[in-house]
Amino acid sequence: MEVKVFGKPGCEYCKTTMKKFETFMGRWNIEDSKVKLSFFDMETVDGLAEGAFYSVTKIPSTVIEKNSDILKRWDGVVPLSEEFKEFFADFSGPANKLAVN
Amino acid sequence: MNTLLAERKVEEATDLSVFVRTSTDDIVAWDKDKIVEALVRETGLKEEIAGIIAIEVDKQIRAMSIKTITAPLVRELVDVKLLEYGLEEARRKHTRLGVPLYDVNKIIAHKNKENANSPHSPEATNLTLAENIKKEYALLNVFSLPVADAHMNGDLHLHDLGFVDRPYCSGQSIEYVKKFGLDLPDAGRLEKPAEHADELVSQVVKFSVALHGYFAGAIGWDAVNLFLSPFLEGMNYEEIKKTARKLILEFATVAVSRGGQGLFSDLNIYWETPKHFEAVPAMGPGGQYTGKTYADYLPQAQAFAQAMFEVYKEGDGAGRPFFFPKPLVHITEKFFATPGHEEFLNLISEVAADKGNTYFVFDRGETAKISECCRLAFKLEYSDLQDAKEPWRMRYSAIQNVTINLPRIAYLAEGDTDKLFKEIENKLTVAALAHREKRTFIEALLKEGSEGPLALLAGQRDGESYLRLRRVTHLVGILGLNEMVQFHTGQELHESPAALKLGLKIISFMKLKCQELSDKFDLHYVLEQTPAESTAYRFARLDMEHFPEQTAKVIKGNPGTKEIYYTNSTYFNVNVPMSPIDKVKQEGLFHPLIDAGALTHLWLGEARPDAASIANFVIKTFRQTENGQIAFSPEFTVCTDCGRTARGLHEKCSYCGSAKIEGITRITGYFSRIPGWNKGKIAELKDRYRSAI
Repeated sequence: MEVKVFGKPGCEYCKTTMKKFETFMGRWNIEDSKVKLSFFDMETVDGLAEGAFYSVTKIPSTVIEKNSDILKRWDGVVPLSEEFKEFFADFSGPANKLAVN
Repeated sequence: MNTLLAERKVEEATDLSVFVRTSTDDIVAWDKDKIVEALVRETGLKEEIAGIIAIEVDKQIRAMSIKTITAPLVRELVDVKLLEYGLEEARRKHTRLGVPLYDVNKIIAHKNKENANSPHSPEATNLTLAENIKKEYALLNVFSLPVADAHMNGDLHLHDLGFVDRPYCSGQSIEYVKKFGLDLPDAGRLEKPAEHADELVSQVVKFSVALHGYFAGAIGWDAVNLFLSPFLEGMNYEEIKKTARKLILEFATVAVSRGGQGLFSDLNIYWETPKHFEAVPAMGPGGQYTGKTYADYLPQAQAFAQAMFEVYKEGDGAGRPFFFPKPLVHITEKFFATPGHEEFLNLISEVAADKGNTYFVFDRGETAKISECCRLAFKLEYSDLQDAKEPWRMRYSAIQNVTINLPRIAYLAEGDTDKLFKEIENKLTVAALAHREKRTFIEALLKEGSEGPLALLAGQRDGESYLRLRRVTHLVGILGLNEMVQFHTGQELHESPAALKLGLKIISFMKLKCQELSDKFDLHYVLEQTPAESTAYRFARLDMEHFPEQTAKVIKGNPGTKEIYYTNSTYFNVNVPMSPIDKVKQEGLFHPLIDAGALTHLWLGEARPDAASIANFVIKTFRQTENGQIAFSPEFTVCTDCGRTARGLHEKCSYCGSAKIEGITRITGYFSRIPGWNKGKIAELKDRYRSAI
């Protein structure tokens, strides 16, 4: 599974979005090899191109994708952990409950 | 020259009794000193060197057994001598511009297929001949050698070289005509601001014709129905429709605008009052404020929009679609929030299905723009929205369009991605230079003011020149992205996500490079989807000649008949049987990256979808995609015997069986007669995948 966050370096909401995924993925013991978290800087060629592929017109935008299927996306908002936790259930260790607080 | 002087000149010619036919319709005795004078005056050569050249040419002419010689031939002989002496720069400056006899014969006898909007008439051939000379002039005298060479060898295309002494296109507000009336240079009279709707319509059309003489391309008008609305107060619907018919017919039948061309005109239309015009004081008859705002005139503006589309639905006298003016309806969030939009959407969709006229322009979020030409759009920035308080100030122009031959870059890169991007950057830099050179040339002409060739554009009725250089753009066109990606990866844009992503990366790279170049040269460079009516064919032809093996792998059309082309701009292969919504979605991914406008064509062919299907499709496009503009293109066969029009392209008239027929459909961003199309566009037409919606 992949989590793609689209933003710009000067955007605080974009930084918050990345931080949030890093924090919760850490808390839920999600292995890097199972879920790839990437930040795409929309001021760079690669970021702009990837953003165009996903029709990103607002920042921050976040896409959760598995096998090229988009499971969920958020445009122009910081996602709530409540909204994305369900997608991580399969990747969490058996002892872990996906706490969102 | 009087007789006595002429005789004396003959005597001075001593033993050489050769006469020269001059370019000023005169026959004068041979005089080698004329060569010296011309070389000193035109090239700045020193008199001694010019004298040596003149003696050499004199010897050569004496050695010939001729009685008369033409001035152009003398000039050629001088040029050869200059070359022999290594005086290349002097030769360049001394060049004579002109057209060979053979070509003039061809131009007079055969239709110009470079622009399907050009008819074939004495007036049109005048335009073609003048364009030929100005093209040569541009390449010799306006652009530097590297830029001219890049054009000549097909690395890039400098559009409208035959119109080098004018900007590319213009979008404006009829508020300018309402406020200032009609004050055209050389017209000899000033028309006061209009008092009636009919008078205003006449002035707008006359002003458009005048502007067509000052711009190479399209003339667009913003929010036409809105700005006409104060003049419609008190009229009943029949009278409003009469005014709408007058507006469309006057634009449609102006076939003497320039070289007999149709007036390439775009009318932007809103169902709602755009937010930036809501509180603007409305200007009415006599250029006076009415005391109301434009928001107050919504009923009149809507009635006019409705009337316009009823006229479009009727078509011309033979039921054919009007080629011009093109109606562009802006679809916005506010459109859907404005009562009556369902019925209006149904009407404009009916016109799209039946005649194909409607262009659906999508302005999402806070975006506002003026659209024109084949797909060009001027996005309104913060300062423009401030100007909107005085809408006559809203005038936008592109100075030039330079299109880059993308497939050739792929051939040069030989599969090396780093080289590919480096080469794109190199070509963008040449394009930027070309823009700077044209800009310098236009600025110099503008500086001549009211006595100069751009007097209309230099006029300062509202404190700044009509052509507001601070708000002009410089277009960087894209052509053949599909073939570029195909050559580099082995797959066309539609064939894999990887190919599509590379395409997006290339356009993203070009967009960011344009921003960098804008900062560097202090000019506003923006990407545009080039309509490429003739460029797609020109590049394909040149590449088949210079890169035959590489080109053969990706070229579209039929190389056997030389009906070949590259795919326009960022389009997918026109032959791919994609569902219309997939096409709009996928092609639309590129649109937010292309600031100066993008469009997706939906080729209907013979199919005639119902209005509700088109309306649903439009809503889906607005809500579910990032596509900037769509147009539906039906095809028609017109019988020149019985005068009737049938749906679809046929070999014979469906009504009377006559073979004297001609097809009509959209070539790039406008409808035209197929017999006037170039070979590349004919090939594309054969390949187009048609589908119902």
